[in-house]
Amino acid sequence: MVDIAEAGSSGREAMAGSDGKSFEELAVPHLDMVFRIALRWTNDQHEAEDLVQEAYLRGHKSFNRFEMREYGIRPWLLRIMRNAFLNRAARQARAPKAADQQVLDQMHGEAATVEEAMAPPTLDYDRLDAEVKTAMQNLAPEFREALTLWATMELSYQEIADILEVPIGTVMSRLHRARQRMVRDLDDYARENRLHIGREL
Amino acid sequence: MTEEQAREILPIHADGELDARRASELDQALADSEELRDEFERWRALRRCAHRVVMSTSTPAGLKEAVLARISRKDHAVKFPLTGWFSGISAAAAALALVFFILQPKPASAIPMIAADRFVEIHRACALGGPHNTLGLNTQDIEQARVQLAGLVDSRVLLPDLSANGFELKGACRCFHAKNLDAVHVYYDRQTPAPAMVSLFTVGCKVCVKQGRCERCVCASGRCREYQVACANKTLVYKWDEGACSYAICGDLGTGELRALADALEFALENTGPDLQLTFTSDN
Repeated sequence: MVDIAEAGSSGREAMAGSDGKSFEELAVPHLDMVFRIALRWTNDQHEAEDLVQEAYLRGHKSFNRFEMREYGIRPWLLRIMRNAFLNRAARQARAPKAADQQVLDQMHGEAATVEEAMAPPTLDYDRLDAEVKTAMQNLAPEFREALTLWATMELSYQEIADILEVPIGTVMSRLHRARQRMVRDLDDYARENRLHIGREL
Repeated sequence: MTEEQAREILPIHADGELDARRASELDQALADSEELRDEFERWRALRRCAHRVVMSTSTPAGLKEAVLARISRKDHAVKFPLTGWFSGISAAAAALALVFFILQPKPASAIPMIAADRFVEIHRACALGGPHNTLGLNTQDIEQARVQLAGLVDSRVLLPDLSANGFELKGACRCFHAKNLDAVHVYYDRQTPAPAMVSLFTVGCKVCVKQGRCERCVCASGRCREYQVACANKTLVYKWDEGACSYAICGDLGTGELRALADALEFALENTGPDLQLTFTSDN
C-alpha cells in the first residue's frame, strides 16, 4: 500500500511556496490533462472521474507542502493521483499492486531479454489510433502509466520519473519495453492485415 | 557510432532526450542513412499516434465544477484548522490517548453485547421449530419442572407459571451460543385465543442488547424493572437484569401483549423457590 503524507490544512490558506497562488488557480488549468491520463490508466471513465476528484481533494489538502519548483504543480498533482490510483488498486486487489523495479524485472525480465529490439513497422500511423489504443491497454499497468505520461508530449523523462517516484533510468527502461511491446503488437496487426507500407499494401 | 548503436538510441532522440554530444553524433548518422531516418520518423509517428489516443478524450462536462465543489465543501468543513505547534500537540495527545486506550487492561466486568436476533433465532429454531427439549422437562407442572431443573443449572432460571395467561410449559434447552455464554431457554405455548409461543431466557451473566431502547416498568411487587427492547425479524425482545443475570422474553405477540406478559413476571430471585443449582454441563 502506498502512503501519501498529507498535511491537514486547507489549500486556500496555504500558499507558501506556490507564488502566492491558490491551489485552484494552479491546479484546475491542468484538469483536462490529468483526466486524460487518469482515463488511460483506469480504462474507465467513471473511475477516472473519481480518481481525478480524489487527486484534487488530496492535493488541496496537502497544498501547504507544495513547493513551486521548475516543473510547476503538474508533476506533483500527477504523483498524488498516481498514489491514489495505486492505493485503489491495492485495496481492490484486482489490479497489480505497486511493484518496485526489481519485482518488475523479475516479472518481465525474461520477455525483455528474449524479445528482440524492433523498429516500428512501416505503417500509416494516421489510421492506427484504434490499434495503438488497444496496444496501450494491453500493457502492464507499470508500463502503461509511464507510456501514458510520455504520450502527453508535455513531460520530460525527469518529470515522469518524479511522478512515478523512480529513477530516470527506470523510466527509460519502462518506456523502452512499453514501446517494444506496442511495436510488436502493431507489427502482428500489420502482418495479419497485410498493412505494411511499401510491402503488401 | 555504429548503426546498431544508433538504432538503440533513436527512440530517445525522437523524444528529444539525448544529451547534446550523442545527439550530434546521431544526427550525423541520420544524415548518412536513409534507413535510419525512416526509422526515426516512425518512432516519432508512434509517439504522435499515442499522443492522439491520449488526447482524443474530452473532459466530461461538470467534472471541473464537481472538483471545485468538493474542494469548497472541504474548505467549509475545516472551520478551525489545526496548524503549527498546536497541531503537533494535538497529534501527540491523540497518540498518547490511543496508546493508553490500547494498553489499559480491559475491565473484568465488561458486559457482552448481544444482538436481539440471537434470542429470536433460538425462539424460532427451538420453540417454533421444535420442540427442542434437551433439558428433558416432561411435565407442565411448574413446581415439578423447577425440581427437574434443580441440579442442572447454577443460576436462578426464570420459570414462571404462565397458565393464567393461557401458556403452558413445553420445553427447555440451552441452545444459546453467543460469546460462550451459558443460558437456559424455556418456552411456552398456548392455543387460545390465538396460537402463540413465547420464549424466556436466563443468561448466566449480565448482557446488553445491541440497539435496544430503554423502557421502565413497576412490577407487581412494586420494584422497578428496566427493559432493553429490541426487534429482530419482526419479533420483539424484552431484556432486563436481575442480580448477576440477565433475562429476556420474546415471542410472536403484539407489542402490548408481550410487554404486559413481561411486566407480569415477578422477579426470578423472589419467585423460583429454593435455589436451583445448575451444573451447566453439556446437554447436547
